[in-house]
Amino acid sequence: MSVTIDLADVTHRYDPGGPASLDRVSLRVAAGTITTILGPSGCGKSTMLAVIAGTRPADAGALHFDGRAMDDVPAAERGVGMVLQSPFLFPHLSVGENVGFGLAARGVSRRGRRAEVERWLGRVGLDGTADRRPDTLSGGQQQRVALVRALAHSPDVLLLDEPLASLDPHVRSRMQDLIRSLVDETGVTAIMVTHDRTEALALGDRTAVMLDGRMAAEDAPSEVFARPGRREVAEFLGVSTFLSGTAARGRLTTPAGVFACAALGDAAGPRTLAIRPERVRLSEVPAENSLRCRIVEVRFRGEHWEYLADTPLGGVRGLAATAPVQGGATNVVLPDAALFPVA
Amino acid sequence: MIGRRASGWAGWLVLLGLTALPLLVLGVQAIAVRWFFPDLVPRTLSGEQVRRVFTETRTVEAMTQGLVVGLVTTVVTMLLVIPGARAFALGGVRAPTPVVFLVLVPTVVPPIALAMGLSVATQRAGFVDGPVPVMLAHLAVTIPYAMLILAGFLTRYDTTFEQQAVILGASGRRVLLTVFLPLAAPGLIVSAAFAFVVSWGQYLLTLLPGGGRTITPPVLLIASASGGNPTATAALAIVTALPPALVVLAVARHLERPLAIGARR
Repeated sequence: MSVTIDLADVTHRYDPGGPASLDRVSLRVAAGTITTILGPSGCGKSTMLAVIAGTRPADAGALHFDGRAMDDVPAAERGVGMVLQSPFLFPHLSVGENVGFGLAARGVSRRGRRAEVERWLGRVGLDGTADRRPDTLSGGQQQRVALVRALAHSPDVLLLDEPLASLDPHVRSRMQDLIRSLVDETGVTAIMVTHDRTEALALGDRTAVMLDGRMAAEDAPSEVFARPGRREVAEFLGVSTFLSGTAARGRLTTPAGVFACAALGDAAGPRTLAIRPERVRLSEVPAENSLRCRIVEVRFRGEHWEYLADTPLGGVRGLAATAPVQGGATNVVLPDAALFPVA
Repeated sequence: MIGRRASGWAGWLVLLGLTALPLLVLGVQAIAVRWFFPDLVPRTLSGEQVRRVFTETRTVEAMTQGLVVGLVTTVVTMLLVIPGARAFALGGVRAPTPVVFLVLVPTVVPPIALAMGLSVATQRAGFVDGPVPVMLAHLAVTIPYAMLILAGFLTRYDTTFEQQAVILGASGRRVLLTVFLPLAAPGLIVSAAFAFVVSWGQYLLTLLPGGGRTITPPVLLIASASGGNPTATAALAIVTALPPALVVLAVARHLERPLAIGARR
């Protein structure tokens, strides 16, 4: 079973009178979907999960599961499963006892638990580990156990608080696929907090960005990444090139030239446009929406080269498949379709 | 390297000199029949005195009373200390410094003053003589030790395990029984062991509140020491030292074990 999660103006403070760790946060997570939450450390992501789980009370606002108010429902009765960055498997219990913990708490018989535990362990490729101690498993295996422990009691809601953060990259990739398939199979409604933009994009049906305790953006992942509406969201998502000028008839007039931007629509007056670094191009010849520049910095980033181009409008950061010549003069192109306005 | 090795040996010598040597001398004294100054070793040895001390009715009674008082005091101590140490270690105490001071007071007050004060207090409360006032008096010193030891262990206890259990649907009782107690077991065992050892070793806090009716091995030992038979006293000292030594030996491995295990390999 899955539920729709609704947070409405939820506020939380760790100290009365202190700064709000959650500041009127509103979010709707449709039943059976995954919403990924991105945000810097300390922005309130984990606090929001704790409020949903019921381990922290909200100071104000409302939380509903399928329209049912959760404020007075104890954590043990909310029907939630949670996976944290560390697996937090009970070290004194076997792997099987860990997976069956939620079932035991609900009075499921030992026999019934054993069958369910074997089924879940088999589902994540850990057959035959039920009698082992958690510390005999690798980090990735422990996190898989934590995942099925959170799902074995058939919760309505699955909360994932950076569950892949401390795993090796190749293990992370497999765990992402596993999480996606388990959510699809069980129909559980999931919220996953992550620092990793790629992970958020790969896993989320929706993606939200939290900044300073507030929900700064929430949309389909591709939209949030391609066109973050606010400058601080864009900056958090890796955008560092912003053009300020005056908008009129789908064009932005700046001190260094005029830039066509269809996304401006009918906007008029002072506006700021932004562009993601992977959409910036270099061109030997001047083109529409280009600026004369000199490459002042080139760094190899593993899969691409990152460069900083010095233009009359300031630094423009871009990515290239081959290394640009440091110190070379060229043109940097900001394609019309790649520019988007930010507030 | 040589300096470090030499200082290591020196450390072992000091440790053995302070612990094993007195016990060795005590052991020899317990089986010495004729051991006069300046003889380095006794002229005659016999196990008769040790055998007699072990089988004497008053020794057996003292051992029984000491065990009963020690065990009951330990149980009550732990029941009182667990919530307190937990609150203290996990930041639930608003004014930790005054609390630490109050908890430590009984350990810094001279034992005779504490014994007299507690003796009067228990008598005024209606407990005249017998084991109950003795246990109440022992609590004054067992609680500080047990509290500090357990609080020290619990500072490494991660309540995230409990939160996980609650989210998984566990009741408060289930969390206590299946998460807190097993995870805190090493700390609880060491803390309880020290509470027992501290209670077992009390002399003035047994003699005065007990009104001379509760005889435990330390009371018997001091009485024997004021007699004139060093061999009997040494044998009794061994009997007195045996239970706490065994208790500490039994829990020693828990002193090294980490309390909460959440990290990956």
